Order: sequence, then structure tokens, then C-alpha cells
Amino acid sequence: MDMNEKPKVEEKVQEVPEVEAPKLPDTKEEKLVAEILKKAPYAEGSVRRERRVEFKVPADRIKEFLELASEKFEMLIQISVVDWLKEGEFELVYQLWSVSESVHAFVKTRIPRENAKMPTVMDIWPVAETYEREAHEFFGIVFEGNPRLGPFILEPREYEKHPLRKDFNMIGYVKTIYGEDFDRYDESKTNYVI
Amino acid sequence: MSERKNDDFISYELQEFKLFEPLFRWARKKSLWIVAFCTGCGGIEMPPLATARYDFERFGIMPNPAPRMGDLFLITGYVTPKTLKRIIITYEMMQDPKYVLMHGSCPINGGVYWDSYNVVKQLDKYIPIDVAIAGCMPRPEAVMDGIMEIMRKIEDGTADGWKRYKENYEYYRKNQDELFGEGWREKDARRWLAWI
Amino acid sequence: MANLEVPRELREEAKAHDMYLHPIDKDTYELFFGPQHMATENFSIILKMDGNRVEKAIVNPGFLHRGFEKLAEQRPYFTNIALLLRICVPESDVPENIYSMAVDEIVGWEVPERAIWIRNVVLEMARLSAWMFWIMGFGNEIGLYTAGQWAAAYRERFMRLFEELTGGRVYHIYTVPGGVRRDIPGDRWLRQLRDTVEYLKGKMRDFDDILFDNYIMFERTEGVGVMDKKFALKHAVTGPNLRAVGVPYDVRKDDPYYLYPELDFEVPVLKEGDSLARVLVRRYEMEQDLYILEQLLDMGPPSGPYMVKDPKLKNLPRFKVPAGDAYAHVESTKGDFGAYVVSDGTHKPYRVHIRGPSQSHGVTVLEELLKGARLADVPVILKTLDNCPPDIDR
Repeated sequence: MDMNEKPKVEEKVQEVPEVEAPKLPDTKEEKLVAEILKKAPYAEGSVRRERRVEFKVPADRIKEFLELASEKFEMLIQISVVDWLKEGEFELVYQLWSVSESVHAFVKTRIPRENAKMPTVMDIWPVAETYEREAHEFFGIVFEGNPRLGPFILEPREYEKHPLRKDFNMIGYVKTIYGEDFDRYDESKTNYVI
Repeated sequence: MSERKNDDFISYELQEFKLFEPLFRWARKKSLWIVAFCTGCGGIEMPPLATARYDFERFGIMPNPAPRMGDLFLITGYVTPKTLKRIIITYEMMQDPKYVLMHGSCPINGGVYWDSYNVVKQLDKYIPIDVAIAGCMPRPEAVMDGIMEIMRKIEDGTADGWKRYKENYEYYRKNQDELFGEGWREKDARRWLAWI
Repeated sequence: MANLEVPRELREEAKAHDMYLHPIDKDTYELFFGPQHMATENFSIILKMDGNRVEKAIVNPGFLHRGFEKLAEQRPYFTNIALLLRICVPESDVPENIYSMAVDEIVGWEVPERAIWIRNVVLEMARLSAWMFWIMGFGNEIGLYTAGQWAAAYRERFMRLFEELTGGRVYHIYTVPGGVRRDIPGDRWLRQLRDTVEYLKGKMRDFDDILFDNYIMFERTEGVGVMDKKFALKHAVTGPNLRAVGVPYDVRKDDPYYLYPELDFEVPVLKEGDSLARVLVRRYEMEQDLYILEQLLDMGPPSGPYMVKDPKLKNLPRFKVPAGDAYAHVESTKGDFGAYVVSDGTHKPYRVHIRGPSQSHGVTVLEELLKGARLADVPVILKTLDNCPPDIDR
């Protein structure tokens, strides 16, 4: 019985996006995605909701893709890095905003955590210099071609640790530097109160 | 500075002027100039304090950018190691007598940032504190209360942080060096102020 | 002053470490601007000066870095509100709102109408109080202290209203995912808010006379720190600074949230791109904000709950958010303020990334605009860009 039931549930889940999907080609988001994917067949693109689109691009073609996308998306709003420790990967999310079309795009790419390297996009958007310096400082990703990587916000001692990585043990680090007398335990004396 | 020993500092309250000491204290109390180094988020409560609603100029307090002319050092919020270096240098540049008022929970024990890797947990290990105001943020009334407290302490002669700093210089220096590593003055501070 | 001479061996040692002890040579010297300076607010710029002109500026932020993004990963979803609002001190409702909007989107909540109305009113009040704070800072920079005194006094009216609404003067901890923390106190509060708006409307004329229509202000800002449209877009300049170069981009119009699609307001645009244009755009926006608040008050708060009804909310510390990610942004007085929240299905966010507008205004843009400026123009450029260092540091 269970074996029979499960596929039914899956079918139902799959049906829902299929019903919604035909609505989209008329919208500006769907047109935008189709236009970009036509020029860049290596990427995957989807419309998330009104004014939000998402692209998944392989890491070695990211620069090519962003150059293409910069025609439509004038502003690079942010480069967010997510550290997926279990998969052993960094996810870089280039957040783009199109002033003319009023659409926000997530351009996602994944690179391995060890010796993480990316080409810089400073020549497309000069503001990327700041975002890359920050991503380098907190995660240790090397952006090749960016001349100003190094301690930016942090002091050299914290900079070496790359504190926003998931394997950085913050409480342990704080204890070694500032001493252990936090006095922040709950009544059971086992957990910290946040 | 490092060659200074505990026993060779001079007496600050000169014996000849002992008679005038109450007058000096009264004068110091009534003309506190603040070093305008608004560290941290508490700096946002300074404008209301300085303007129409809670006008602190009626107590003779005035913000003043130069540390050489300041009497009162307001530390208005959390302190990161990068700021603490500047705080120590600014504090040492101030003329005696000088007083420190600490503002908010964060410099007392870390406050909300108790587990942050970049916030100093106990500020009084690094520079001497005269009055601390708890709260996040302390209301302007609380800051006024703290200022009244420091005025009272100046009149009593118990606001003696600057004396404690000289007497226990080795203790403070040891804590500072532990946090920043030996030789931070030579490496960093000399870059800002070549004559240190 | 005799001991200002630096020993030769020290000078050489410093040069070996790529540091220059000032003066570098006879005419050029290095000037440290901040952090102990009222205009910079915990932010330091290393200026390489040639006489009175800035040759090169290097921004040195990080005095306010507290590691918010790491701390947010250690705390449950609702606790994070009390933490993240400290990112933007003059306008602390903005980080609350973007974080709550992003979490709302991941969970898929329909926020009740009343909560949306209250959030919208709070955001507009925060904008107005931040404008007042900005007038104060700007007035003090260019030496028009009276405007600063007035603005700080008018800001107190909003502080009082905020205090009655939320319990806090500066940090409100009011907007939470799913709604707001408590209801509006009553009709008296609404009447007071309307009075304040009316009062401030009457005072705009005074601000014009003393600051915005003032000869001194024109002299200090006209032609200072000019940028063009292409530069602004490439450097991700947002907010009033972008509208001062002729791009009518406003998040409230282009990516509308809350009640803004129903409200009638204009986006002021100037095209000169200098400091004066940035100041005037801000002045027009202030007027629009008063107008928006008036419309909201005419609309009146819709009836209904002020918080989403969800059985999961009974155990707040263990409240779990389904896996997913969302980006939400609002228009703050400084520009486009955004939050990117990633959830992995547990009760703590996997990653929170805040995008402050000063990350672009305060680093690359500032460094470019300062080149060739006079020393006296440095605070003017800093203030007209409305640089807020905690955005950069976080």
C-alpha cells in the first residue's frame, strides 16, 4: 500500500508547478530569462516569483555569463557567500538588479571549499572590488585579478581565521582571547543563555 | 613610557597648592570638556544630549575634538580591538586630570556581543574607568545621571582613574599587550602618530 | 614641536613595511582623517594630501565590526531581531523590516493587513527621524549649527512617539517575522503622530530658509563630488545619491512592498550629480515622506490581528523555518538596504547577509569622489553621500 501511495503524492507535487508554469511566458521575467538563456545555453534559469529570477551557472563560465547579464542588469547589488560545510562547497550568489526592467536576479555558482578561487568581476562592475575584498576576508576565497585583497575590516589576527566559515569555532576562539569567565550559563549550568 | 617605574612618578596634588584643592576640584567639575570620540552605537544619543531637549551645556559640558584639551572621555558603546588601540592612544594623549565615563552594557561585560570574536569584553582591564552606566542603550537621563555621578566623584576626589593608570601601568600594559600582541605600539600606533 | 622629526632608521623601517610616516616629502603628506573626528563617525580615511588637495584616499573601515553575520547564525530566528537592528543605528527599523520580510517570504506567511500598515508607518517614521538626524549632521559639517539644533529637537518628537509605541527610543525591536510585537497604543497616539506631521510640515519652510535655500550651503556644495550616471550605476550607487544623477530608481516604486503601491507619491530626480543635487533630492524626499505619512493616517489602521496566527509560534525559541532562501530590500534614507537569508530547515538561520548601501557609497565611490577634493570638502562629500560606517563593517 505504501509503495502505491508514494508515487501519487509525488505526482501531485509535480503537477502544481506544471499548472503554474504556462502562465509565465507572458511576464517580463520569463522573457528576460528566455532571452539570456538563449545566449547562454550552459546556464539554468528559472523565475522564482514576481521580480525575482534565478540562474545557476557553472563556476568556470561565471565571468562570461556575468558579462552577458550586465547588459540587462546594470547593478551588482551584492556578492553573498554561503558556506555549505557538508557538501564541501562555497555557494556564491551574485545579486544583480536591473534598473530598466525592475528585476532582481540571483546568479548562483558553486566552487569547492579547498583553495577556493574565482575570477574577479571588477572590470564589469568596479564596485565588486569591495564585495570581493569582504568575501575574501571572511571566507578566504581568492579573487584572481583583484589587487586589494587583504585585511580590510578585520585586524590581521582575525583575518587569518576567516571567521564566517562554518568551521570557525567562535566560542572557543573568544575563550582563548578574552578569558573564560562569561557567566552566561542557564540554571542547569550546561548551556549558554543567548 | 615603558621605562616608567611605579615609584618615580611625582605627586599630582602638589603640597603647595593643597589649600586651593577644593577650588580646583570645583572648577574641574564645572567645566568638563568631552573628547568627541563617539565609539559604538551610543554616539547616537549624544546629539539629543547636546541639543534642546537634554541640554548638557548647562553643566559646563562641551564636545571638543582635540584630546589634548579634553577632560572627560566618553566611551559610548561596544569597543572592538581596532578601536581599543585608538582609545588607549587617545586616552594617553589626554592631559591630567582625565576621567572616563563608560556608556552601555557592552564595555562592561560584552552585552549582546558576549560571544562575538571582535568585541572587547571587559574594558576596565585595559583602561581605568570612573563611572559605568548600564543599559542598551542608556537613555539620555541615565547618561545625565552618570555625568552627575562623575561630578560628585570629582568633588570627592574619588574619580582617580588617571592616578590608577599611572600606579598600575604595568598591569594595564600587560593586558593590552596580551590582547594586541607585543609591540603593537611600535607597529600600529607609530603610523598614526609618528612622535610616540 | 621639535621632536616631530622622525629618526631616519625608523623612517626606513616604516618604508620597508610599506608605511609612510608623514610628511612623506616636502609637499605631500599623509593625513589620518578619523576615527576620532565628528564627521566620520568611527570611520577612518587615510588621505594622501598635496597641499590642500587630496591626491589619494584610502578608506580604512572596521572600527564597528561585531561579526553580526556570524552571531546571527548562533541565535534563533526571533532572537536575531534584537541583534540585527543594531546594524543601522540612525534607522534601526530598516534591518528589522528586511530580515522579517525575508523570513516571511521563506515561511510563506501572509502578514495581516494591520501589521503591514503599522510596519509601513514605522518605516516612514524611521525615515523622517533619520532625515532629521542627517540634517543635524550636515548642518554641523558646514557650520550652520542652528539647523542642527532644530533638527535634533524635532527628532525628539519622533523618539517620543517611538517610545510610546515600542518602549525604546533608539532600538525598537518591534517588527518581528509574521507581524509586529504589539499593537498601536490607541487613537491618542495616532492623533499625536498626525500633530507631529503637521508640525514638521510647517517647519519645512524654516529649514528652507536656514539650510536648503542658504547661500552658504550652495557655496559649499555646488560642484563638489560630481559623479555621472554611468559611474553611479557601475558603482551600485542607490537611494538619493542615484536619484541625484538622474536615475529614477526607488525600491518603493520599482520593487514595491507593504502599502506603497496604493500610496500616491513622487520620486524626485535631479541630474547634476554633485553634492548640491544630493542635498536637494533629500529635501524633496522629506516632503514626500510627510505626504506619505499623512496618506497612511488618512487611510487609518485596518482592523484585525497584528500578528500571524500560526501554531508553530507557540514555542518561539524552537520555531523552525523551512529550507530556502530569500532576498528582501527596502528603501532607506541611505539607499537600497537588503537582506539575504538562507535557511536549512533548523531553528537558526544558516546565513544572513545584510547589504548596506554604504558598502558601495563608503568605499569605492568615496575614494573616487575624494580625489582632487579640497580638505574642507571631505566632510561635505562624506555627509552628502550619507555614509553610515556600521553598514560597511557589520
